[in-house]
Formats: sequence, structure tokens, C-alpha cells
Amino acid sequence: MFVAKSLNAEHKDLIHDVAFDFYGRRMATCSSDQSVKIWDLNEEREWVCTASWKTHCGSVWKVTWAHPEFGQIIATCSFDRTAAIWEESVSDSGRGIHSTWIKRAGLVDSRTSVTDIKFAPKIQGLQLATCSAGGVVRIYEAPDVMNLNQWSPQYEINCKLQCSCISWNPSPSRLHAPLIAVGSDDPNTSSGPKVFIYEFSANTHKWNRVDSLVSISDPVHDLAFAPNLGRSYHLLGIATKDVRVVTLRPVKQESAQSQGNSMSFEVRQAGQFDDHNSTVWRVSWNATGTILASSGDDGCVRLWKANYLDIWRCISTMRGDTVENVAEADSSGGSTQQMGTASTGQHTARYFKLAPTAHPAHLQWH
Amino acid sequence: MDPSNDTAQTWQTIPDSMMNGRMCGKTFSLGSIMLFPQQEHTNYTDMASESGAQRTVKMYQLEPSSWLWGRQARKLINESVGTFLSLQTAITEAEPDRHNAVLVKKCREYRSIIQACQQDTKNLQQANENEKQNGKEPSTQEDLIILQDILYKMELILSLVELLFIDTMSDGHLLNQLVKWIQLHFPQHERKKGVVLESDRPHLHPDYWNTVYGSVLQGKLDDARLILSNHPSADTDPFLSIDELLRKMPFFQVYGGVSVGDFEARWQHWQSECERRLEEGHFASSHNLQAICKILCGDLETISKLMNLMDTWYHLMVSTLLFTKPTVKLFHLSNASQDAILRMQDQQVITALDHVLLAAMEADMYQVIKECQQVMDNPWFTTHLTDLLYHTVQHKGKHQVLPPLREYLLLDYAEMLAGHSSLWQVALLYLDHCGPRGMAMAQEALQRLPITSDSCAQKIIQMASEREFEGVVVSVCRVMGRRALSQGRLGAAIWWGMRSKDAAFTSHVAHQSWKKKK
Repeated sequence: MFVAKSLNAEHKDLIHDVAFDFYGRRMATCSSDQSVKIWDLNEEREWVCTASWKTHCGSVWKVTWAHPEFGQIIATCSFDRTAAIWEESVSDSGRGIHSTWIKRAGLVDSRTSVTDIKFAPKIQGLQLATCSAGGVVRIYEAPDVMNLNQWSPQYEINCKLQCSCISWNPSPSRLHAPLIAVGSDDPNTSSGPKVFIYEFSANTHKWNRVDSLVSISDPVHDLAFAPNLGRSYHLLGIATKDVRVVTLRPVKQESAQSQGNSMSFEVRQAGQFDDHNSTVWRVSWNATGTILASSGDDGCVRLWKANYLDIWRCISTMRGDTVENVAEADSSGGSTQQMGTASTGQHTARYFKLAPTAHPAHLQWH
Repeated sequence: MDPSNDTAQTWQTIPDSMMNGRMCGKTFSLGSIMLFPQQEHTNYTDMASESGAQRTVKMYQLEPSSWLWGRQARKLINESVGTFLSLQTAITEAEPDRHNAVLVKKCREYRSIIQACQQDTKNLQQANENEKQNGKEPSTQEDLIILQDILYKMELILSLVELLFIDTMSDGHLLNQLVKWIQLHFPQHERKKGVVLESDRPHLHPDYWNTVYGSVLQGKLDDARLILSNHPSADTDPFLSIDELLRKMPFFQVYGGVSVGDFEARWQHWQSECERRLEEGHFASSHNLQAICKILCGDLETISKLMNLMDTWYHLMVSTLLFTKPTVKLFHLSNASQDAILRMQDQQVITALDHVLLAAMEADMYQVIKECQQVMDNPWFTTHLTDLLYHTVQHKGKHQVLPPLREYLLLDYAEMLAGHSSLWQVALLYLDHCGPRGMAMAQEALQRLPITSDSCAQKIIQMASEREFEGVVVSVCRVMGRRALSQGRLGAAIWWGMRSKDAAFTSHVAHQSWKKKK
């Protein structure tokens, strides 16, 4: 059960992405209004917008935070074919603490809309990957983590199909070579699989495609590796015509050119869910990799969780709806929603529970 | 049963027309979700909406809510972790033949924790009632009533599990335990007895006979005798006869020196005597006394007629067994419970609680846990219950299912606690007992804690060091170093840099600091 609290997004247009920092206390939102806003949680646990600025010359598709070990850094990517890296600068003027975000670098190599941008796991240093509508994945690195003005392009991967999303494998172990999953939203199902797995070979200094998920040939709009806390396999959530959960289990093979063993993967589909009954646009994981959130064209957000037998199922559905006669408490920063008939002024947030479970004979206790 | 159907689904509606189209959700802080309306876009067109379109775009933050986060439950959480930890230690240290005693003790500790919470909640309800004229929010009272209901049910289940699975004594004793269980959880006749006896003329009180029947059905024969003795005809033959029968009903004594077989014989002899007196018309003058005797004879029809005094099928079941099968064994309960449900079917709807209790009567531990998962909105109860049951069967080597289920539930519960700003330390205590996945989650949880101050950082470092999570220590130091640097506190930055053994960072800061001094 959840308690809901609303806040005014203050963007002049719809939001494309929301990203939280590592601790969940800072939030970045980006929009078609070409700006990014930074929000901080104040002492009353309310979100306050502490910065807002124009970042690109086109819609900003995605925003993402670097690990706090590198400082307060975000990266954005846009329809204007560029990506950018921003760092916060805090100054204490006489009137209190003032936060501005300074553009440290612009990445202008792409000739098409840059559709996704993600920082690599911190163990790889300060690296990030972008992907574009032209089908190119680019990996950049700041060799000196203390100097964010210098970002050098390290690798280019041509996926041959337009790319919509990328995800780094967050696996913290040094045993696994860096791994990236790329998704394509090419509308042509006969152009083949739409999810590609690339692995970095330290020997050859190249990114190699080690797998393509043949079971997924519909356009992929989003994908994400799950944080791996003690699993022996990788877990990938995919947003396509339905929700997919795929496991990749590393299988060591002796390779003919014996410069050590190369990894290949045993790919299994752990779940395929059409509950949205429509295109699924976004998927994201929680910090522990136990819950997957999906959103679809049916206007719902669903949460998915595996039981102790690793069987995935939907545990929660949230639906946006037009509701008549909703009274709203009037306050500046945020307001709490009330449902139902009489509004008696300020109320603390109420429970939004509707009809419960699958089994009609079961009565909820709460 | 569909094994994937563990926890019940929840539904939520966000009343916002903007969200009608496409709503997106991002999780953060181990349990919170931010919902926002998302616009469809393609890679080839830059869709900005019509200029001048004035719309208020709202985002919605969802926080998990549960009775577990209430003030009343805080003590419950803190005390139960103590019992959990002491259970793990005690079991490993105890001799095999002492295991059961340890588990019974720990089960009773959990029960008393729940009971203490019930008492606290009751006190709060009283206090709220007294302050009602101050316009106390009715929703708080409602929450407390719901909480009381949940606590009652948890204690009911746990006490049944205790007597069926953990505190298993000799065959003859099961009925006594079941009777005590019913007496404890259905105290209404106790209350009524007081009311009736204090009235002017008890025998004329409308509840008089019902209280007698109710006491008999609960095996409280002394109470029944006491109430009967208040009747003006108490010294007439029928009353004296029934008093004798009530007085002489045999109850199995564990250490009484009588074997189960002998007890059974005595009991049959007693019941035959009841039947004889009934047939010979000892109670012909009073249909009430006749009814009592019929109960003693185990007459199902009479017992069933008094269903409204028993409320539930399990009360009916135990009352029936009391007068039909005093040496009932665990495997009899499956049929006995089905039978009671059947007899009561017109009076009640089967609830989720009934499913849990039925599973217990079927001696199906796994099903008990599953049914509990279905109705609980948080894993507190199922986690501790599963841990108890796991230890109960572990040395018997029977259950293959319980170990992974126990670990899963512990991780689930700990994860829930870890997301809470004041309970993350409790989470770590559980994660210490969850194997490698617990360790991985503990490290993640420690790293994700917002570092609000230096002392907070020190606390996290201390807890990480205790567990030899060197990576976490280094990471926290790096973050603190960066923070100090951005705030211009170069001395502090160097200090943290050194602690994190990050040479590049430290030398960079040192360089900065040298430049400043120039």
C-alpha cells in the first residue's frame, strides 16, 4: 500500500525523464522545454527546485547522475544531437547557498538525435556511454577524474539499427568484464533481434557483440540491467511490446585462441508479461534489483517482483485517471491529494487503495 | 496451488487527467516511487507541445505505508530483532534435546511482544477516547482498530502454531492445549460470567443459561458449576446430579502417571454415566440441564444448536472434540476442522484468517506461511514465523522448501527496514544472517544511506568496518572528501582523502591547498 503526495513539476512541457542521485535525495527532471531542473529534499522532506536552466537546443531525452564519489555531476542527451556533462558549483553568497550547474563538456560527435546516456559503474572510473538514432554507441572517458573538462571518446560501436536505450551491467565484481546492453526501436520486426549485448575485451581493447536476444524482434524502447546483489547471473528488464525479464548466466568457455577464457551467456526468458496490453515504454529497477517498474500505453505503472522460486509476477498496479470532484489543498511547494466527497481543508495524504486481490475469497486485513 | 501467487496485488489510482495517457515511474531510496506524466516521442521529431499551452504538470511521490511504520509498532520491531538474534544463538548452542524448549521459549517471547503491542495500542485508544472532545482525528482511531485486529490475528495464529508444531507434547495433551487456546482467545464468557454473577438475581439474567453453556463448551467446568450454584434450585437432585458430572469429568494430566489408554477408558466410563443419567430422566424437569448433559454426552446436534455462542468454526471444532475425542491427535484435526466448517457454513464466510488456521490444522507449514504472505502487507510476521518453523524442522531434515523461503523472507524484511531512516541498523542485524546475498545487500544499504553529517559518516564507517566491508568504508570516505572539497574545506578533504587511500584525490587537493596559500 502506498501513500501519495503530489508536487508541481514546474516544467512548461511534459517530462521525458526523471533521475535520482545515488542517495535518493536529489532529483533531476528534463523536458521538451529544453531545460533541466534540479530538486533537493529539504528538512521537511519536500522537494524544492534549486536550479533550472536551459541545457540544449532541442528536447532533452534523458538525464543521469554520476556516482557521488566523483562529485555532483549529471549528464544529459538531446534531440539536438549532443550530450553534455554538468557539474554543480556551490557558492555561499550573503543571501544563502546558491547552486549553479556549469557545463563541463559537450559531446558533439553524433549526427543524429542522442537517445540515451548512462554513466558506467564506478569501478570503471568516470566513463559514460551514449547511443543515437543513427545506431551508434559511443563510450567516453574522463581520464583525470579531477578534471571534468576533458572527455575523450574511447570507442564507437555501430549497431546498424537505430538505438533507443543502453544499460551498463552494474555488477560490482572484478570478475565480470564490462558489459553493455543496447536496445533498438527500429519498427521493422524482420530486421532481426532488437537487444544486443556487448562485452569489452581487455586483451583486444575492443567491444564485441557477444549476444543478440533473438526472442525480441519488436521495437525496444527501454532496457535496464538490475543491480546485482549476490546473484550468480545477470538480470535484464526490457520494455517492448510487453514486459520482458531476461536472465544471462555466464558460461565459461575455453576459447581456441587461448588468451584466457571468454565468456558467453546462457540466455533465458524469466518472464514475459502483457498486463499493459499495449506498448511498454519504460522500465527501471530499484536499488537492490528486486523490483522492476514498467510503464505502458495503458496509462499504468506496474511493479514486478520475483518470489523465492524466482518466478516473476506483478505486485502492484498504479493507474493514472481522470477523477471528478477532487479537492486539492492549496499550498506553495506541494500538495496532498484527497479523494472522495467532502473536503475539510488540509488533510494529510490518504490511502489510495482500491479493489484488491486475485482471489475473491481472500479478505485483506489492512 | 499456483506457487507464483504469493503476495496479494495492490492497486492504486492517481487522480490526475494528465496521467491518463502515459505515466512513468522511477523508484528511489529503497521503496519510494516517483510518478510523472510522460510524453510520447520518436527519434525523428522534436515534439514540443503547442506554445501557450498552460498545463500544470504534477509528479506524484508514493511512499510505502504500513502499520509497521506506526509509532506503536516501533517497539515491536526493536524487540523482535532481539528475540530473533537470541534465537539464532541459542539454537546453535543448545543440545539437540533442548531445541524444542528453546523454540517454545522464543515463540512465547514473540507472542508477548505482540501482546505488549496490543496493550500499548489499547492504552492509546483509551487516551484518544478521553480526548475525543478535542477533535481528535477519527482516522487515527480507525488505524488503531485495524492494528488491533491485525495483532489479534497474528497472536492467534502464532499461539496455534506453537501448540501444533513447536510445543508438541504427548498425545493426550493436544486437546488440553487446544482448549486453552480457545479459552485465551474467546474471553466473552469470562466477561459475561462476571456480569451475571454480580446481578441481583443471576438466574433471571437473560444471559444466565448462555453463560453456563458457553463455559461448558470452553471446558471451564468450574465456572459453569459456580454459576449453577447461584440458582435457587441448586440443591435439588437434577442440579446436584449435573454438578457431580461436571466435577468428575476427567482431564488428561501430562505428569499424572496415567497412560493415555487408561485415561481414555476412564473418560469413556464417565461419558457412559452421563448418557445413563440422561436416559433415566434425571434432568427431565429442566430442558436447560438436559441440554448441558447432552453436551457432556457429545451430542452433535445440541452442540451445533449453540453455534452462536462459539462464533467460529475452530471454537466449534475444539468444543466438539472436547466431548467426543479427548485423545485427539494432530492428524485428526484435518477432518475435524473440515467437519466444523461444514456444520457452520450457513453462519460464516471463510476468511483469509480461516485459510491460515486450516493450513495449520492440515499440518502444512508451508501453506501456513503462504497464506500469511497473502494477507500481510509487510513481512514482519511471516519472516519471524518462518524462521521459527525453519529451526523447528531443521534438525529433522525434512523440509527442503523452508531454507530458501526463510532466506528470501529475511532479505525482503531487511530490505524494507533498510529503506527506513531510523531502522537501517536493525536491517543490518538481520542481513548478518542471510548468507552472501545478505552481505551484498548490507553493503548496498550502507552505501545508500544519505550521509547527513560527519557523525553519520562515522557511524556508517563503524558498522561497515565491523563487518569488514572495506569497499564501503573507502566509498564513504571518497564521498565525504568530495563534499569537503566542493565546500572549500581543503583540510577536511585531505583527511578524508587519506582515509580513502585515494592518492590521486589527495594529491589534487593538496595541490589546490598549496595554490591557495600562494
